[in-house]
Amino acid sequence: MAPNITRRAALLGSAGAILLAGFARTFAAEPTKLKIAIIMESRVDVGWCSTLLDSLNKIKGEIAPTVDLSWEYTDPLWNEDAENAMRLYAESGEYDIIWGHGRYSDQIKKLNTEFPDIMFVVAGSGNAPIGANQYWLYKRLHEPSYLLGMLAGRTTKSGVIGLVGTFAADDVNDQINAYLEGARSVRSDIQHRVSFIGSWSDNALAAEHANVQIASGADVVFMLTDNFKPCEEHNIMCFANISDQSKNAPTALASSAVINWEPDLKWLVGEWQKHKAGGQFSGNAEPKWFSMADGGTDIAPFHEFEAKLPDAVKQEIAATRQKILSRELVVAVNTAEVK
Amino acid sequence: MISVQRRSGSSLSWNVACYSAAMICAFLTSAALLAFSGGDPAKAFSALLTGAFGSQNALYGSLAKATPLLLVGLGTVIAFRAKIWNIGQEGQVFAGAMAAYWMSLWVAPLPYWLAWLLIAIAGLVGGGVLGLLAGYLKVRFGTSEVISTVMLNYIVIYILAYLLDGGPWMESGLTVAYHQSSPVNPLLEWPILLGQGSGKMHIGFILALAAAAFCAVLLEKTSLGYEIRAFGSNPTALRFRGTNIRRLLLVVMLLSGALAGLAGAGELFGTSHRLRAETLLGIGSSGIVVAMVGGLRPSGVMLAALFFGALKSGAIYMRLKSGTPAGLVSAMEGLVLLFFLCAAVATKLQLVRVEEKVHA
Repeated sequence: MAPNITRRAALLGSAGAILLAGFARTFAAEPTKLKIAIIMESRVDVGWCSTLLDSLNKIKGEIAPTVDLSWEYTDPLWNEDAENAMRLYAESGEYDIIWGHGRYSDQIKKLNTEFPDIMFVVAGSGNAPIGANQYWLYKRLHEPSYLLGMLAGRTTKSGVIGLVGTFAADDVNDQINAYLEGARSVRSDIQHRVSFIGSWSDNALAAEHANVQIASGADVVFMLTDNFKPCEEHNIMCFANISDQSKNAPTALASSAVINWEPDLKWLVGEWQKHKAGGQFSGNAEPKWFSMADGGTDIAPFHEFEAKLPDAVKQEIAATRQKILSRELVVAVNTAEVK
Repeated sequence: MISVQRRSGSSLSWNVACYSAAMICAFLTSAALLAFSGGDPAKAFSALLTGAFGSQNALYGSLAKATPLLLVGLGTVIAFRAKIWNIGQEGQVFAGAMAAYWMSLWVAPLPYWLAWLLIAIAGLVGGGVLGLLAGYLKVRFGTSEVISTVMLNYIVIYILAYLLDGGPWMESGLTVAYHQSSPVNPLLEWPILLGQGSGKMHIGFILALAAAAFCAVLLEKTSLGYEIRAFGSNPTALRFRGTNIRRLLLVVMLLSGALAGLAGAGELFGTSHRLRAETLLGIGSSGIVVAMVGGLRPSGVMLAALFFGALKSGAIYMRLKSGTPAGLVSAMEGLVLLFFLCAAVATKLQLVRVEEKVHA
């Protein structure tokens, strides 16, 4: 038998439902506002910075129910200018996190005790382990570099592979060693050419180094700098790092070792929420990095090389990637300088 | 008919009018650039002024920024007044900072005042020796100082790169393999005289003021100053007068380089506290601009250094508060230089009414 609902009962029921929904909205926890000021080390179109902005955009929606995330960023600032900018942001009282996206612990050391309720973040090598309210993020691209090395080992005809590095820094050497290890895991007689340009941004010098390596027999080159013109001019396969740079040289760049900041951001948001709930900041003194399995890095798609690379090679790379993701294969971190 | 003619003497009111017009033109074109790039000129200039002079600390910050510019500018004045085109200030600033850093590795056990003095002297010597080297190349081999000073810039910068990238001065520690030294010994940092936080004026400013007084007296009141000015206007006459031109050239390059070197030492021990190329880059070239805008006179250089120091100091505030693009600050500096150079030419000219001849 159908329930007998009177008109009055229906009206009362509807009104009750509307009131209940209103109360629920009123008493539901509003997302906590989290505002970040970012001091950039380089232009925002450079991979190191663009990947951070991409990751911020990605997690914004994901954490929206609990955290209302917003951010501002500067043009490149260094030294005293960076310190002054950080101080301006801190004194404004508008920002919960001040993020120096690079080597900024010298500046933070002068500010962090003065602003104990602000979380300070630095990223990359060259920073100091201050701890307290400074959190130190790090990026290790050795795992995707290993995969790129395998690809290089499988595709080189000359048996000589090249690497053009910036500095022989800790977080550059790990990529180089892993790349060579990956290449030698599939072809043990691989020879290498490695050189450092001694700059983060001298693209002309990077091209000169690449040309020399190509002239001395390298037919696959891992460009840890941002100039892929020599690869295009000599029609050889190259790789990039930090971000997916395929669009810069689609016919030459087979893939890139890329950074994702999402796990770093989620971890920091969690740490900030703990502080907001009354806990103490406990900034890490050891640099913290997230592996490929954690989602901290990966290799970029093959794009135009999807059709050029042999299926067997692609399958081998995919299978090894899965092993790294499942932690079945552990790529060692080796930061020794390669000569 | 109005004709433009060369002015025989100088007129204070005409000079003031020319440089005021230059300043107004520089600000108007900067405002146009700001508006063109989507900014609000009023908001930007207001932020610039607040950042440069809005508080005591802001003022001290501007003075701190002016310090190396004043020293390099004074060094440039000494060379350029003799028409010796020392454009190696960039390298001389580096050499001064490097020599001072080297000295700091040895003098820590000494009493503070002695250690401080030795560090300052090392800065002077470092920059001076580099200037002297360019001077020697000129008097011994006739090498153009323009070429030698520029080449020496590269040499010094690459020597620093070697020292800091795997060399003996590279910082050792966790994950560090960058172009930077360890921080200087905190006991050897130059004393902060005024300010705190973002606006700290160190003792280098007093040294720069003393250097300005020294240069003014040297150029206007001493026989060496007379020779420097005479070499700039008529070297042949000076040679016939019996002046040792080679010695003069070496002395000018030594003094010019030494002042730039002191700027490098001050920047390292007063401000950045860590030897790193990027903290020193641009000081030399900005100092040349300051010297030119200051009309190659110590008093003018002081004003120009304060102006550019304030511009640099206020620029951060302007960038953050009004969203002004970073490149625009450099463009503003360039515009100021351009209009001031035009004004410098204009001060030497006058407008004269000429009556047209009536042909019968």
